[in-house]
Amino acid sequence: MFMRPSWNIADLEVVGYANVFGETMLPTVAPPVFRFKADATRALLPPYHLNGAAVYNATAVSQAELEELRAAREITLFDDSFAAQANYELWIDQSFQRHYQPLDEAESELGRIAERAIHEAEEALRQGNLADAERLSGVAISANDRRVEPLAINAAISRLNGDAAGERLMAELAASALEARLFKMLVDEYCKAAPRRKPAAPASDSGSPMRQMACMAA
Amino acid sequence: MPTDCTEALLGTAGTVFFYTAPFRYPHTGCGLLFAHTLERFHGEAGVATPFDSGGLVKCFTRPDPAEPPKEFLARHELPVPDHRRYLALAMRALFHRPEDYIEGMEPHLPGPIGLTGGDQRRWTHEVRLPDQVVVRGHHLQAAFAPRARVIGNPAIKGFFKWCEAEGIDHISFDTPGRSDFEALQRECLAYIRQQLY
Repeated sequence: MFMRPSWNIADLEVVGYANVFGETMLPTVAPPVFRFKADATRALLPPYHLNGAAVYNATAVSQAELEELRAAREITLFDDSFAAQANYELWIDQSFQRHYQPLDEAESELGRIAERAIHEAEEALRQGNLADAERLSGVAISANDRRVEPLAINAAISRLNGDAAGERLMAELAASALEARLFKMLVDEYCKAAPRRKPAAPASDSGSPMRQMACMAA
Repeated sequence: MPTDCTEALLGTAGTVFFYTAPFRYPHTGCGLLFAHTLERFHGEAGVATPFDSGGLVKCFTRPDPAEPPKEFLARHELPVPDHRRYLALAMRALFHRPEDYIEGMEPHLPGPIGLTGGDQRRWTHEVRLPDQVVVRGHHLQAAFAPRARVIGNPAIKGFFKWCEAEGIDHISFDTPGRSDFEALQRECLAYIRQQLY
């Protein structure tokens, strides 16, 4: 593979991230744009590989190129900068606020956001608020794209709206994580929970339909 | 468009850019892969170069730095789809294996163009087609997007539903390694390997 030099993360600071996010894409992890502490006219862009304290295969660019990329809405630059650290994750929350935390802390925080959004999406679905359920499932999968519940909630919404193509698409997206039969059972449960399906008998709040579901390795 | 931007400097504004290769432009999260028939369809109007034109301004070193990038670009333009004959020869002659071009490996021979510096885009063929290209058409081979974007972005979800209905390959993927582009590249390469070798 085409190899470039490596750099020590201790020599770098974070000045932004290599993306421009809209509201529907948050919260999410973002790949940092690094700048050299000793030379503020040079920066490093992804794609790169981070391995402990080293950055491999990054693209080195000038400050002028950074500005051009910002103008083209390909990257986001902060008004300030902060020291880059090994094994840290940069992520952006739903208020567009940045967070720079140790990897495990960031993962836990995003996991909690996903969990909460799934719970709220399930609640919205039970109340028949499909628009909120869809939006919240988007939040959940942005925070943790390994969760399968947001896909099932989306599939249930598609079914309730008579959108067979949408339901098939969600089943396809879930296929690498959950057996088709189990995914369908999950969607069935979510549909039963929605008032349009069983208006006279609202579903119990006793727990998520994911209970007792076995998750297959991707 | 700013007069000092790359496309304005090179006279390539108003065109749609393609790589005759897997996705190679960083800061890309979603991707569209078109069949080669697109080039035949637009043949007379399109033009190709055996390198990424933007790199002439940004990261490649030309053999004669005094020659303006726009002139260098014009000297190396090839007709579409005939540039594929040059590409096929280059894949066989300049790389250890033709597949190395697809995989993004550096050629073991420099070739006749004389550019140095930059990355894989230095030897990746670029095709430029004027005005607009219809995305929802029969030249589309496959669409790629992170799973979270398919769920969270109604436009992408709608597009994937269209692909599903039309029988066009649509690939969604996780992005555990922070970078959408890295995952996009990996998925596109896996897809092409499956189709070609």
